Amino acid sequence: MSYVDDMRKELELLVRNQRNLPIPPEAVPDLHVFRPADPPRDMVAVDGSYAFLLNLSSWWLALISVGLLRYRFDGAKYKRLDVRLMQRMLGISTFAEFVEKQDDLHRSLFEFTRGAGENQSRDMVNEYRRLIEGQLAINFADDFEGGIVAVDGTLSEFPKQFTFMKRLVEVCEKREHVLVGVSKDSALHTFGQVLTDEDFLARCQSELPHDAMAFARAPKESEAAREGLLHGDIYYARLHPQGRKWFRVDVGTFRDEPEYVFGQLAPYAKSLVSVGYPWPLIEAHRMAVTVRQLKPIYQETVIKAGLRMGIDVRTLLDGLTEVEGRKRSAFHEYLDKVARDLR
Amino acid sequence: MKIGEIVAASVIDGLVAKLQLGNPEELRIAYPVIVQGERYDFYCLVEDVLNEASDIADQLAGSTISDVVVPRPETHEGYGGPIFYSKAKLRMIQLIDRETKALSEPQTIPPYFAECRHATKQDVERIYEPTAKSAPLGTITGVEPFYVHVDMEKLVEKPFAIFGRTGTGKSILNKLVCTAILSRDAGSVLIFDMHGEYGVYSKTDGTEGLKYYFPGKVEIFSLDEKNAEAKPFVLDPDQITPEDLIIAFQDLTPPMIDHIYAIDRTKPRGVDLVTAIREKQATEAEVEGGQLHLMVLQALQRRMGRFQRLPFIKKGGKDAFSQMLALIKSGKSVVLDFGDYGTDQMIYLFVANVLARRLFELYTEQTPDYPRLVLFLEEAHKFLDPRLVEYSIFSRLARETRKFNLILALIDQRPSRIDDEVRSQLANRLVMSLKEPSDVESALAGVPDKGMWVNIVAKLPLRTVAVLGDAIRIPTVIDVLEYEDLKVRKYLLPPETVDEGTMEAIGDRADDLLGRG
Repeated sequence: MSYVDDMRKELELLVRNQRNLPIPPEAVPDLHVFRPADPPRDMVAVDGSYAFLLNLSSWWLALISVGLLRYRFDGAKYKRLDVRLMQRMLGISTFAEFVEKQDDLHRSLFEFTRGAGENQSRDMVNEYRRLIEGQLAINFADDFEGGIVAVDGTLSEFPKQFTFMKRLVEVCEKREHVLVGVSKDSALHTFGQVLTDEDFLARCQSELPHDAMAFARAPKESEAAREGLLHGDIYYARLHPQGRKWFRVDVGTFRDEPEYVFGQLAPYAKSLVSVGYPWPLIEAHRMAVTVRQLKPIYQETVIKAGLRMGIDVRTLLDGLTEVEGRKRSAFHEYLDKVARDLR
Repeated sequence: MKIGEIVAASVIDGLVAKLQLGNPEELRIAYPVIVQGERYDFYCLVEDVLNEASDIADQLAGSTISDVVVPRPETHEGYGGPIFYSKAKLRMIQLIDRETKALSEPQTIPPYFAECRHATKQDVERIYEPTAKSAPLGTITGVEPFYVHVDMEKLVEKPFAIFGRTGTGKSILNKLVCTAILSRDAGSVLIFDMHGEYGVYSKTDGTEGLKYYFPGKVEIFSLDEKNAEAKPFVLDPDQITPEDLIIAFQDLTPPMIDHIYAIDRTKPRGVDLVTAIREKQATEAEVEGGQLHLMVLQALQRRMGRFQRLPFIKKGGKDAFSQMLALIKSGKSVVLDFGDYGTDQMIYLFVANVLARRLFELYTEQTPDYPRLVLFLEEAHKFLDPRLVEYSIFSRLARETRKFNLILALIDQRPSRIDDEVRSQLANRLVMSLKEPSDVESALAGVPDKGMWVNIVAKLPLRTVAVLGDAIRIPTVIDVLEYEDLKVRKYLLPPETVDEGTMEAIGDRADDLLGRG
């Protein structure tokens, strides 16, 4: 039996149990159709990214970058009203005895990500990125009223003592903002199906009128499982009549009026660049990831500073990392190169 | 107004600007742009405007999804400007020191993100400083009206050319150039006026001619006896040489040419060449000896019959050339009107070659006696075709006479058919729209930044000219001045050029001649 036979067998299994699996009528969730607002409120979109710059033993240096943009949509064009970029440098250690001597923030990040194993450094930076995103959103949201605040990802908290998400919800309620967290990709199975929630809802779409925009609430049990950490209700939404993808959207305010909330989001999901996904979040993402595109410049700054502080150049060069934290000089990088270059 | 920022730069390859224009149509090729460096303002010309290929654009174009917002610059403002933007390739032409305002050649580049803006009138004023003998030929393209001066004294120092395909406005430009030369006293002109455009009034469009503006400086001669305004042009057939005939007929076979030279060598004293050919009876010895061939001789004689019917070729008549010379010597300009013969190419080629040859001989022998004369040659390629150039006096004229005050000005629509060596002598080129790639290449051969100019010239609109050479501070694209009485007076003529009485008299006489109301 060749690998081709193996492949065919596996594909058959997939088609039978997933792709062609009929969805029983009782499993189809309540799909609510809604209409877009005209005109919608201004939208503030927040997204962040990071780039590891240096790794010396169990210590990493990373730069976190968060972009925030405020847009207005007049039915024809997305006008940028404001733009902010916040950058923070973070040094982290994954060596417990060292972390114990650090401040609350570092200890909390370490504890919250303790189970991540080899990925702990990445998870620590990622959680810190979410904290910065939240802080920037809070500051900006408190300066105006009646908008939409859209953050990338879920509306869940990280270590309880840093209740930034709770504070963001409070500020948005006070300023009467619609607060949502939009996840680019979700691999949850909250509907209890073999398909992911996104794929499952795409399959249920045939129940809807042609070209309808709709949302569905995730089973409440899935929210209960995250009680205390989640600050909103979990929905899946199709924000454009011809959008191919259902997105997970956590709704943090106006929780009794989901039609209103999704009606506000939909006009921002009409860009041909990102049909079904809010354009301002695309732009906030593009802005944030410049930290990765410009990494060599930041690394140069680190090298110069390190040299001035007496670190020898070999150590610094050996410590340079790829964006996700893996050392450039790591041995498997060398092996990859050998495999690639040798015929 | 800021239009973009520099994102790439090279002294050799030029600059690339990321544009911040909502619509790239606002910028055109050859527009002047200022790039603001730290120490210098970089005066540039737009070499190209481009939307670069983009995978995302490829994916999105042709989408059938309805009710979407298409990501145009005006609909999608990204964090750093429009997400889809155009770029412009800029060619550095001059550096302007921001402090001293001194001009220099571009030997460096502006920093990244240097701001670009449209050139203003003040910017171009720094570049184009009028000189004592400069005159405007039009306005600079892409800037608020600014009249660009061309130095007429420099222009007539060496051979120059006006190239452009038919209908682009070469004749109008040529009239402006002639007017400017005369108004600035940069030299005299001799024009072979095939279509009656340069005399008092143009017979083709009724516009004013050189005689109208410079009645005391211009004399008209005419081959056509009906032209009462002009002095009669008479040519002594004794002055005709074999080369004049070869150029005039253009398509003589090598045996015919051999026959002409053979007859010229053996013709009796006192008999002109045309008569000698026409009356030649080949002897048996000549035929048997192979010096003459009867069929060739007969063919040649049939062609010479055309000269019999030309009234301006008169043996023993008063040769007009000596009159012309006297006028030229006294600083006057001459318009040779071809009248009804203007449509006969053979006559034009013949007369132009005869006159030019005689001028060449005189100027090379007696240079100090003659003032600078610019000889305008339309259909230049017919004289300077590589196949005929050895017989034409004009190639020698282009190569040698700058030393002798006799300057050749070529006017042509097919520069590719002009001999390379002649083209290489051109110190200034006024290039209008050309479509044939070989013509564009030839018109610009030897020009610095030729690649850019090839693109520009191929896309020039009508009545626009690229001026390249030492008569202008920097190579420039000019919207040619409208050849209209008031504008010519305002921009080209000194105020005292023509008094009212003279003008009225000329007008009355022209009305009588042309029947204008």
